[in-house]
Amino acid sequence: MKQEAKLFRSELLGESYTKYVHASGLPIYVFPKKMTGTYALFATNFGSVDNALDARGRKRLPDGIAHFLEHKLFTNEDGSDSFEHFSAYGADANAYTSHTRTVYLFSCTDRFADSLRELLTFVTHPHFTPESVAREQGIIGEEIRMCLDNPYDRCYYNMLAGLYRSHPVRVDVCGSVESIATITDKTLYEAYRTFYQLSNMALVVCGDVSVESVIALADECLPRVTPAPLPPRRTYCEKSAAHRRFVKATGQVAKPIFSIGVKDTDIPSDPRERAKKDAGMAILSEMLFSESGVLYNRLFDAGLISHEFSADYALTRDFGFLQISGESDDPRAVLRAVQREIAALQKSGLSRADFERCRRVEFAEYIKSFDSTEEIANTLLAFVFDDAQIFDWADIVRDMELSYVEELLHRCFDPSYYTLSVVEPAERVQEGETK
Amino acid sequence: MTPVRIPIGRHGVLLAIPTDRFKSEYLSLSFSVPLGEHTAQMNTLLPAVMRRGTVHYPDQLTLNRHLDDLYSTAISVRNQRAGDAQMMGLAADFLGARFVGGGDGLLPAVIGTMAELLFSPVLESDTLRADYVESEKGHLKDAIRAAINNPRGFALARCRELTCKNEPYALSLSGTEQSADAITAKALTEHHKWLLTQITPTYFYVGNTAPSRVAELLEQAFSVLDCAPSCVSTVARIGSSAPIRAESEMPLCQGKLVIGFRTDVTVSHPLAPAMLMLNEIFGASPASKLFLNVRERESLCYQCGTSLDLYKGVIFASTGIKVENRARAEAAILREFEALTRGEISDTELFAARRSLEYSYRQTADNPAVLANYYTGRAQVGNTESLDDWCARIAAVTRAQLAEAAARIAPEAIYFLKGMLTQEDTEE
Repeated sequence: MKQEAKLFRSELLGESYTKYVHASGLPIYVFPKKMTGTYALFATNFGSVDNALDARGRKRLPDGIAHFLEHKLFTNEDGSDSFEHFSAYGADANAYTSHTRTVYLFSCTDRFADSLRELLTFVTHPHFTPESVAREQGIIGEEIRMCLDNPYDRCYYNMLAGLYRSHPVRVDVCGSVESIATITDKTLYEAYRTFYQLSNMALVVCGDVSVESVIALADECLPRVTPAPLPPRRTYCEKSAAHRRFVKATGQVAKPIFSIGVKDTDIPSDPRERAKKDAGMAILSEMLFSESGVLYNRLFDAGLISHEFSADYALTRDFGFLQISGESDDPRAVLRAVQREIAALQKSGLSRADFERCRRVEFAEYIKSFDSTEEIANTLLAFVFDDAQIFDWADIVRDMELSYVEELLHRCFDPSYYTLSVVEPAERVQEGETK
Repeated sequence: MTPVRIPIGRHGVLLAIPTDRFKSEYLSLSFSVPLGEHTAQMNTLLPAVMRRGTVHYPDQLTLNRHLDDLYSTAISVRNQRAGDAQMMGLAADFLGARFVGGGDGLLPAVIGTMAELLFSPVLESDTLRADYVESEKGHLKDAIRAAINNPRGFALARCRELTCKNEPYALSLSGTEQSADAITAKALTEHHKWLLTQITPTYFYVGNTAPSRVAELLEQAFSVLDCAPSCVSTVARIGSSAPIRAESEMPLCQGKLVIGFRTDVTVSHPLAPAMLMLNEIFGASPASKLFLNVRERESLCYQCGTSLDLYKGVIFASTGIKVENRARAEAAILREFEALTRGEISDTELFAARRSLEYSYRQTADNPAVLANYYTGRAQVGNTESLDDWCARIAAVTRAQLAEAAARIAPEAIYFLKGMLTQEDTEE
């Protein structure tokens, strides 16, 4: 069934892209851009949080299986490795797994067609054997141990475990040495068949290419299958309050590092509303926690934080949280100061001048992000997997009202939503987790 | 993308790439000074203090808000090794003129802010503010102590110290806590004045403003920087082949193994492209010997690769492994290195390395900061080779040149950071 291509255009940016749903069911997005390099990614809407084969969670998958699949797909049936093929074409290939998606990608400066053929072929032709799975368990085991030695990773995952009681976002994307030991070639095939349906995936290409050339390669490489129904999505019933108020661990750090998590379970079901909330929280985070803000400078001048202080808001279809991170001799004092500042602003209201300045910052950063094919392709993917449109962001930011951001300030910072995760130098810790 | 060269003042030079392909513009100012035990730490501390406030924007809050008002302009500090020199500078990334009303856009204001940061830090009785100096000394000491937060970086630094023992390259740019304590606001103010007399600037601009106009604005702002150029010489030699060994322990899950190699081939040496290609084949790509053999075939590790610093002539091979696999991993890495020196390089490996390097240099055209790194780095050692000429030399590397380059590299140091945690220790 031939589908019409749909063009999206931004007058502000002078950019456009085309969406085309291929006969195989695969949505294809082509963003032509006159750059030297071309960046392509082939992604599935399957990440570490998708840990069961059914919506009710009865057929559980081992933790870390999405990431394990990402590693294994590069091995081909003839024993070759797709990394080597990409190298022969002069392309730089890679892959990553997040909480919500798995992404295979390459960038190249020539022989684009060869590399795209390779990408489309290896991702759609899984080949797993007990021997190759066992070999990968050794490699990923070392990746997990490497992450355990990273105190910032530990602080982040402890924060998520503090925020969430049962949602699988609390589990490390790589899983654990024990959970990956239970992965077999059979479980990999099961997960693959469920989540790697082309209608659950997307191909995004950004660079000096034509829509027609990409579609022609998709015609050549992709199986003509009847699009299957989308895989089941588990939903989780999480209380709005954080699971734990405080999580502490010891690690190889010189002074305590911390992540303050603020849980957000109020997730709009409408994609445009979700995008609006995301933009509103981005502006609010900039107003509250950036180096241009009063709080940052007060904490810095008091010696409570360093230049490393940062805040980032994440919102997906079924979980959201704000993370405020840094290093401090007294992370609890930082948490108290954050909560005090927010309570004060909830009473006094936000400054319009601050709002306009931070909106300008968001706007400028958005425009600048369109200088990178890599950033365009990855951001476009994040939008399409969230059923949103990348060019709408500028309008959403332009039309944002201070009253809406103030509403977020009142709605999203109840004291029960917070958790504090701290990794302390070994000798400082005397107590364990507290509820 | 070969830049236009325009002299600025008597000794400075602007390298400009006029283009409208980007929505943002890029401007950097770079210079090098000898990497010295008594100056490296001051050179690191000074920009942090300068970034705290200027005459017109006397604290972080007003300075950062000023940058926000310039449409989120980012001005970052550059401070890195370049062989036995310390390369410093400022780099600004800002929204292009067509998004902010046209004309020169933000460029004059950005140049003005860079000049203010460099020349006009906020003073108190003609001295840098003591509270800012003390505060940034505290942050610097925290950063020195925080080296343990990044075990891989820690192991690389230890191996660098061993590999280039008693040479400037081994020095830490952050210095020690004790030497930081000894720095006073007065001493740092004197250092600032002295440093301004040492700067031969290289400016790098990518954007839509005519290079002549950029040059005019730079002349107005930076004409006082007028030091005659003098290249810092770097000690480069072949490794001893009887490597120094050292080991330390930390409460970690993994062991971090780093092997330091030395060569006398540096960036301006005729064999530099061959050395670059050797490194690529050895461990710098997913088609390399270390990736395919040590990681994929032997399943010993997740991360195993090499990094080459052509400004010094060093290669570091590093990996994270189970402690009990230390001897196996070391033997496996050295086996691949020996294969390389014996010329055991397949046509596939050679082809993949050539393609990979061609790609990585071609795609620098899409990234102004990477272009700036290439051109300003070379400018500091008096090398004016264009990126196109460099790529042509890489494409023309022969097996004979690879053999010649391979004969000029040998291991110098082997460092192991031994992880002392068991699996049970991590399950708190």
